[in-house]
Amino acid sequence: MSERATSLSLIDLPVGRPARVVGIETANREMDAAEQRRLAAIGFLPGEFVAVVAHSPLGRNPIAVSIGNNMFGLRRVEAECIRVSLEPA
Amino acid sequence: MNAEAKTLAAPLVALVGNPNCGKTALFNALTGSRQKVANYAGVTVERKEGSCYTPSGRRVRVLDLPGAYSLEARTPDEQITCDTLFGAAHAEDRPDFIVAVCDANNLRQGLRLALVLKRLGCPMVLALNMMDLARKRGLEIDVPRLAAELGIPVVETVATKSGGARDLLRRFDGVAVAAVDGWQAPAHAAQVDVESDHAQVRRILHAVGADRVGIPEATAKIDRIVLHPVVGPLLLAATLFLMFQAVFAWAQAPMTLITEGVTALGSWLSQAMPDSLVRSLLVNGVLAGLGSVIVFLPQIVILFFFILLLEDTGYLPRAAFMLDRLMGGVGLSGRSFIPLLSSFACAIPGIMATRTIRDPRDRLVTIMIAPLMTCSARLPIYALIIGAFIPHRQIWGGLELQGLVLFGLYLFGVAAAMLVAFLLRLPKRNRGHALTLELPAYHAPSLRGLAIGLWQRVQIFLTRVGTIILSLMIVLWFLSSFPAPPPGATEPAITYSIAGRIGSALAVIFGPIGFNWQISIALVPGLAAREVAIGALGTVYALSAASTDVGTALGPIVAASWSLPTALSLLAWYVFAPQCLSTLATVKRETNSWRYPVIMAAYLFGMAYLASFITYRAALALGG
Repeated sequence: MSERATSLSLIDLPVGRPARVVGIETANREMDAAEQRRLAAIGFLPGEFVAVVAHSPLGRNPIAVSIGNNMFGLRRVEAECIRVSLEPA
Repeated sequence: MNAEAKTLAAPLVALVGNPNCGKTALFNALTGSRQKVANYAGVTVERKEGSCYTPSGRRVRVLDLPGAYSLEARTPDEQITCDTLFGAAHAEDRPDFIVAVCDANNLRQGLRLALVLKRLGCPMVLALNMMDLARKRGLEIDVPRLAAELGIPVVETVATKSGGARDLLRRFDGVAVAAVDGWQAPAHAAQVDVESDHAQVRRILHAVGADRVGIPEATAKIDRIVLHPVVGPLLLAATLFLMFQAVFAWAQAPMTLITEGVTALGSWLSQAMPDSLVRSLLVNGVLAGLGSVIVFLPQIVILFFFILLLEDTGYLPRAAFMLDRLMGGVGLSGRSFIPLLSSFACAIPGIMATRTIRDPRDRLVTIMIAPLMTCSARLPIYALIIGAFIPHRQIWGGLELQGLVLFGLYLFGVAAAMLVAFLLRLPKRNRGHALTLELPAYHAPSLRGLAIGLWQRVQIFLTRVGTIILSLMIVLWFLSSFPAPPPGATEPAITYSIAGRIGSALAVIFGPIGFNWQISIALVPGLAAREVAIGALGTVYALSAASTDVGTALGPIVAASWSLPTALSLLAWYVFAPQCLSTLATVKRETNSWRYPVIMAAYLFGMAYLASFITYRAALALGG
């Protein structure tokens, strides 16, 4: 199976399910290359542990995500760019 | 600057690190300053310089810079940091030494930046900050190994404890002032291979025993409640509610005490001094004016107690997270939230905090709506009118009606801001925007920090009262006392004075929205600072009073002499009116043009007049 097939977008990761970052990809036109480098700079780098901590009161925009030792609030446009793979629970 | 001069100067040490890693706390510990610290990213948005002495008595200049995740600046505040490091700012500002500040609990992120900083080639040391917290969480970092792996010295710091920066200070002894062009930041330093740095960071973390992942257990537990989709918003609403209830409920006793004190002082002065102009100046000008403002100090202290508590614990960015959808709905980025929230204290730091917003249009919209957030200077005005016109009673089982009305006024300001943002955003909508809002680990609030923060607010308030408000009160007293009334005058003397005449002229403009001449005249000095309007009313009414009784208790006077529609209209006026010249000056400075402050003043005055007109007419029609 290709990596693409086993990976999913961070926005689709269920709350509390541990995963690892696979990489960042262009998912929409709002997120240019610099914006993607920004995501890498705050810690969304391949191999890092990631988990969705909470959805916002009105659904998955924004979502609270733990990455490394940090937590960030990300909007849908950002989370859609981040591909993750599930860790065995 | 030539080489000789530079050698004579004290060396410059720059504190650089991720947002919210404790740079400013460290700066305060080193220099004895009291710069604002709080538990969220983006508190510091400008460079601050201070100085300190090393154990051997050498003077060192210390520079506190806005936090950054990388050296690829994306926001105006990060640009300040990068410009300083790359020497794009003035040559004498180029640091001779870098302190890479890392939160010991978040080395993973801190080290990535440290590696980039190291490549700049400037002498540096790594400060492992918040080491006390790391130990408490059971984190054992092999510090000598870390220094060996990085190839730079590492010191432990606890910025919030006295003496917690001693080891770092000792390092400054060896700092040399770089020769003329000292080190030149290599142009490629910012162009980093983030993935290879990342691999190195992971290797180092493993080697020094800091490769634990995840967020602190306590924070995770709290967030299960605080960020819960249903419980979270309820908790937020309850918190804000409690805050506004407390502003009225807790302040009663101290406010009564202040009022009684000022009244007693006034009657004592009236009896001890012969009836003279000097007595009138002291009693009617100074005491009536200042007394009516000072009485609101307890309410301001209570409001700031809550604001500081929310800032210190780390709750503030969570509130931003929960309300982000609302911001997105009107086309704003979530990054606008914290600047807007700061504006509840004062619009000036709020407008400066917009430097953390990347998109220039977003930043401008945020600046334009910041004055609609109810700043603390408006609190005395709201409190005066609410206290005088809204009955002191409880509704719906225990809710204080006055606090509820105050809460409503704050919400009204927020709703107006959202509407303006929406309209400003209409021509060019953008659907998506990055948020990247850091949600920091919770900290127990530091009592010392809270006390210092509150004391600073008290000082700011009293300084304003003692300088700008005092001088305006004296000027107003003169304008209200001269010229003296003609012989045989029937009206109170003030009617014939300059102020009285100006007030009557202004009342033509403000008449349609229900303001009498006393209010009209108070609005003019109120432009300098909002609270001045209260002091001005105090003076004007004291001079209008027929009896020699000191009218320091302004509340009962306005309750007796204003109609309810007038009171409501004045409340509506203050929700919008840009009655603050310093805010407009800040907008001019931050946008570098006169255009925006002029637009801001025009639209806010327009909205104020409109809102007051509608309120007044509607209240009259309803028979208020």
